[in-house]
Amino acid sequence: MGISFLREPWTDEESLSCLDKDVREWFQSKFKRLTPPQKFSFKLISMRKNVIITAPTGSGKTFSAFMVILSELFRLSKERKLEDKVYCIYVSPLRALDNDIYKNLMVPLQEIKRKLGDDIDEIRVGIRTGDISPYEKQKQLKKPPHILITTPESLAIILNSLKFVEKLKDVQWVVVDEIHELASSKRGVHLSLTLERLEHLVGKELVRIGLGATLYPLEEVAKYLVGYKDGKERDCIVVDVSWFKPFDLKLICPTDDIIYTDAEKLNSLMYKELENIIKNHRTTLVFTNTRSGTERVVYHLKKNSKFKEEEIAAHHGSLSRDIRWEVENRLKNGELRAVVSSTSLELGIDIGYIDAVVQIGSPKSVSRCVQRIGRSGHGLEDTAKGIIIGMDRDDLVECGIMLKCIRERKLDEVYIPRNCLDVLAQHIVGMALNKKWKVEEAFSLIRRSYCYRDLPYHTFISLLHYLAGHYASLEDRNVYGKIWFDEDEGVFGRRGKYTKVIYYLNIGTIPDEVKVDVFTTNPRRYVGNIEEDFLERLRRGDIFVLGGSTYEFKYARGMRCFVEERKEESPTIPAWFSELLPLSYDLAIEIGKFRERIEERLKRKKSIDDIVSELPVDERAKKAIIEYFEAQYRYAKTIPTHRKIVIEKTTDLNGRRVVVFHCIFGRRVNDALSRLFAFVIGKKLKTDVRITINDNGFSLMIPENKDLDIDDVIKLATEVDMEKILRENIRRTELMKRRFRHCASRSFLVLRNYKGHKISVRKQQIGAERLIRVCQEIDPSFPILEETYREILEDLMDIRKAKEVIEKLKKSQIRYEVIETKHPSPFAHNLILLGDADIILMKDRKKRLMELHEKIMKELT
Amino acid sequence: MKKISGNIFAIEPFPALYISDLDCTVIADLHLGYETIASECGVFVPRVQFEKSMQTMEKIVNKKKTKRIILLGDIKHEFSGTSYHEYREVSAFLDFLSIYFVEIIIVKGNHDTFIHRVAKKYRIEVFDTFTEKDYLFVHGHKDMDIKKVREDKIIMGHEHPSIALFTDIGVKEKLRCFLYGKAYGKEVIVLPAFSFFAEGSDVNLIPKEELLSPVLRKVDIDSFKVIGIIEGDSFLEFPSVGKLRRFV
Repeated sequence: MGISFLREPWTDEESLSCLDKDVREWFQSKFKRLTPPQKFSFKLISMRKNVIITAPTGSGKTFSAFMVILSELFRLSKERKLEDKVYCIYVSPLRALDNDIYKNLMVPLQEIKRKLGDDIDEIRVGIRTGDISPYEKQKQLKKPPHILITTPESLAIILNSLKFVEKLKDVQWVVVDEIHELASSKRGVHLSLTLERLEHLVGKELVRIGLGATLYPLEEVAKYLVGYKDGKERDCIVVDVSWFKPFDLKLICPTDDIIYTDAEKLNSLMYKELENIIKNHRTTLVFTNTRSGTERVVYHLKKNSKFKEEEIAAHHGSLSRDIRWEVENRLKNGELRAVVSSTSLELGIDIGYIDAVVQIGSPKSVSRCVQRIGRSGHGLEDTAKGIIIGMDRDDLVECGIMLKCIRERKLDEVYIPRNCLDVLAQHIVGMALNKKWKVEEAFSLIRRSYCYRDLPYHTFISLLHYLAGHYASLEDRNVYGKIWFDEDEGVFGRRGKYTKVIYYLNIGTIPDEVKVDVFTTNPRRYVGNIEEDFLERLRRGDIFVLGGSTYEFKYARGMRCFVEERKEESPTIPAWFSELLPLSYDLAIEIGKFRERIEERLKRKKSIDDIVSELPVDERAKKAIIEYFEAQYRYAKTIPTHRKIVIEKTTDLNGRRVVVFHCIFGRRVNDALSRLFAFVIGKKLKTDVRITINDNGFSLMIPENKDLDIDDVIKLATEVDMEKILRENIRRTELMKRRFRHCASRSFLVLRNYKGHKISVRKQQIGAERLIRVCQEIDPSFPILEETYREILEDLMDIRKAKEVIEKLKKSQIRYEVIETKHPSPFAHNLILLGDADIILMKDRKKRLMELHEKIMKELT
Repeated sequence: MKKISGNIFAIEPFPALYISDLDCTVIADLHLGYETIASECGVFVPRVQFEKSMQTMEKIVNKKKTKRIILLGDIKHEFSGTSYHEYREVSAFLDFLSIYFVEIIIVKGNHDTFIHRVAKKYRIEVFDTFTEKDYLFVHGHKDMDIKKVREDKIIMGHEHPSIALFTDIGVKEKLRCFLYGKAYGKEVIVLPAFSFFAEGSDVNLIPKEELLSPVLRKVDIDSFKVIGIIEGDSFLEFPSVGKLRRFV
C-alpha cells in the first residue's frame, strides 16, 4: 500500500462512533461539529493507521490526533486495565508547544474524570524536557505518565535511561507535531532514528501520527514519518486539509517611485503603511526577516507611532524564554495591538486571536509565507489575511509571484537531509550503550529511517571504526573510543566509563550559539556582541552597524572582536547578512517562468499589463514591476529566465570589471554555481576571483587587463567535476572551519560538556584548521570531514540542483546569452550594490605569498 | 640558512636557530603532550604532534649538525603536573635528541612545571635563564629589565609569533615567524613555536600592549624585522612588523 492519500472524509456520526461514550459526550458538549482534519483522523487513528495530517492553525489539529487516543485510554481506565506505563508519546520541537499541549489535554481529562468520578483510574499526562527536575523524573518513574510529552532530544535520552525505558516497552502511539519544521533539519534526522530505535525497543509497529502545516510533497514527509521496512516504505495515509481556510492576500508598495525614494523616506512610508494596518485591525502579527529588523520595527512603533508602548511587543529567539512567554500570554489576553517577530512565532504556539499578518520584505519561500499568513484568522472559517510590504523591485516581483503561487497552491519542496554521519554517530553511541549489537542488525535498523534508507554499508563501517577510536593508536583507544567494535566478529558495544556521561551531556544537533564580544580598541570599551558567523564574514576595514553606531572591524582574537568607531561612514556589510533566508529553488523557477512570459510579450512589443495584473498586488507595486521589466528589456534586450542564463559583462560603480550571471535558481544553487564559475574563470585567467551573490544571480570581479571568452568558460564549466572543485574551494574557508566544529561536536570528536565542565566554544575552536589537517592526514575521507563537506554542499548549498543546471546547460536545455553593457542593467543593480563577497582561491598558496611579498617590497622602496 | 646577525642563523625553512660560536641549535615552545590535555578537555585530537616533531627535528639536524641543543621553554603543554603520556613523550623526545646531540640544555617555560623530574633522569640541567658568552636565553614569560641585562643578545620564545597577510581580495594568510631587532641597545630574537598545534599571535594585527610576553610589550616591536616560514618550503623576509601593519 505504501503512501496513499485520502480525499473523502467520514460523516460526523461515523467518526464519533469510534469514540468511547463519555468521551464522545464530552466532545459533543464542547464542539458543534468536527473540523475538517477530525473528519478524517478519528476513523483512521481508531483503525490504527499511520497518518499524516496537515491543516492550518485553529483547525483542531491537536484533538484530531488525540481524541481517539484519549478515548482508548478512558476505555482501559473504566475497565480498570490502565497500567503504569506510557501508552502515547507526543514530540514537538518546542517546549512552549509542549506546555500548550499539556494544558489542552488536561481540559478533557479533568472534565471527563469529574463526570465519571472515582469509577475510573486517573489518566496521567507528563512533560519530560531538559527543564524538568530530578524529583519530577523520579516521580515519573514511580507513576509513569500515560501520555508523555517531550522533545526530540529528551526522547532520545530516555531511550538510554535504564529504568524509565522499561515503561516505554508497550508504547502504542507516537505523535510528531510541527513535522514540517523538524523534517528539514538535522534535528529531524535525529528524530527519525530515535523513532526507529523506539520501535525496535517496543518490538512491534507503532502507530505514527504526524501533524504539520503546509507541506509539499506530502508523500516524502509521510515516508519520513513512517520510515522503511525491509527496504519498502511502511504504510501511511495522508490527509491534506491545509487549504480549506480562505486566504486574503495583498502585496503593497509603500511609494510611487521605488527607485528614487531614498532609504530613509522609504522606511518612513513603510511605517506609515504598517501603522495604518495595525490601526485597522485588532491584533496584527508582523514578521521581519531578521532579529535586528524586528528590533528596529518595534523601536519605531513604540517611539514614533500613536500606539501606547505597552501595546507593542517583540518576540524572537534572542529574547529570554520568560519574556517570550509573557508576550505570548499578553497576546492571548488580547492586550497587544501588534507583535513583531522574526521566525519564532511561525510555529504553532498558541497566541490567541490574530486578524492580520504583515510581512516586511520577502519571506523567500512560498511555504514559509503560507505558514506565516496562516497564523491569522484563528477561527475555523476565518479568512487568513496577509499583507506583504515590498521594499525593492526584486522584492516586489518575488512577493507578487509568491502570492500568486499561494493562490494556485503551489508550495516549494521540503528538503530533508540524508545520510548525516554526525547524527548517526550519536545514535550509534546511544545504541551501543543499550546493548551489544550485531553489525547487520544495527545496520538494518538504521536503514529503516527515511534519512538513512540508502546509507552505504562501507560508510557505516567507517563510522564504527571512527567511534571505536581506530584512528588512534591501540593504547589510546580507551580515551578516544566511544564504542568497541570487532570487525571480524561483526559486533559492537559500549566502551569506557565516561561514555554514558558524555552521551547524556552532549546529545543534540543544534550547535552552541556563539556570541562574539565586540570592543573598541582605544579606549577599550565593550560595545555589544555579534554572531560568530557574522564575524567570519568580516574582513579588515569592513564597516558595520551595532547598536545604532557604525564601527570599522580591526581584528579578532579568539572570541573577541576589536573595532574602531567610524562616525558618518556607511556600512560595507549588512549586519543581517548571515540571517538572511535564501530564495527557494521552486519559487525561483516560478519567477523564471513568469519572466519568460513577460519576455515573450516584450519581444512582440506587446503590453505586459495583463500578465502583471495576475499578481495580487496594489497599483503602485504593479507599476513598479512593469517599469522594472520594461527598463531591463529596453536596456539589455533580453530577460533572464529559468531556461536562459544571461551573462552580462559590465563595469561596477567604481569602474571595476565584473561579469554578472543572471541566474534564477534560488540562492543555494547560485552559491554552488558561483563558486564553480569563479574557479573556472580563475583558472583561465590565472587569478583570484571575488564573488558577490544574491538570490537573482552572482557577479564575479575580474582584473582589468584580461579578456574573457564566455563560450570557453561555459564549455569548461560543463566538463569539470563540480563536486571536486567545490570541495577544494571550501576546504580553506572559515565556513569549513565552523561547520567542521559543529559536525565534530555532534559526532563527539570535540565535546561541549565533559566531566562536569562546560567546554567553551573558544576551546572547541582550538585549531579547527589544525584539527581538519590532522583528520585529513589520518584519512582523507575521515567520516567527520565527509559530513562537513556534505552539510555544506547539500544542506547549505544545493549541489544536486546545481549539477542539474550544468547538465541542462550542456544539453542546451538551458541556454545562455552573453551581453556587454556600459553600466549594469537594472536586474544587476541589487547585486552590484550588495556588500557581501566571497573568494575563490585559484593560485597556490606559495605563489600568492610570493606575490604579496613582492608587492609589499615594491611599495616600500 | 639565513643569517640574522653575527653568529646567529635561522635554519631554513624551520623554526630553529643555529648559533655558530656556541655550536648549538635552539628551538622553543614544543608543547609536547598537547593532545592528552586536549582530550582531557573533551577535544579528541589524535596524537600526531610527537611524530611530526621528530620528523622536523631530523630534517633540522640533516641541514645543520651541532653539538648542543637548547630547548627554550614550554617543552610540555600542561601547566599543572605531568600526565603519564606527557612524561612519556618528553622522555622519548629527550631520548631521541640524545642520539643527535652531545649536550641538551633546558630553559624552563611557564608550562614546564615538574620538568626537572624528567630532566634529572637524563642528567639534563634545567635553567630559569641560561647565559653563555654574550647570549642570554630565556623563555620570555617573566618580565625583566632589559637595560640591566649584562649580555648583548637575548634569545626568547613564549610569544608564538606569526604574521597575517591579506591579499587584494581579502584572503588571510598566516605565517609563523621569527622576530628580531634592537631594544635598549640589546639584540632581541624571538623564535616561532615549534609545536604543530600552536596558534600564533598575529603580531602585525595585535596592538603592542596585547602581546603575550611582558618583555616584548616593552620593546619597539614595530621596528623588529620578520622572517616568515612557508611551512616545508622556504623563508619569506619582511622589513618590519610596523610596515606590515600597513598592509593589512
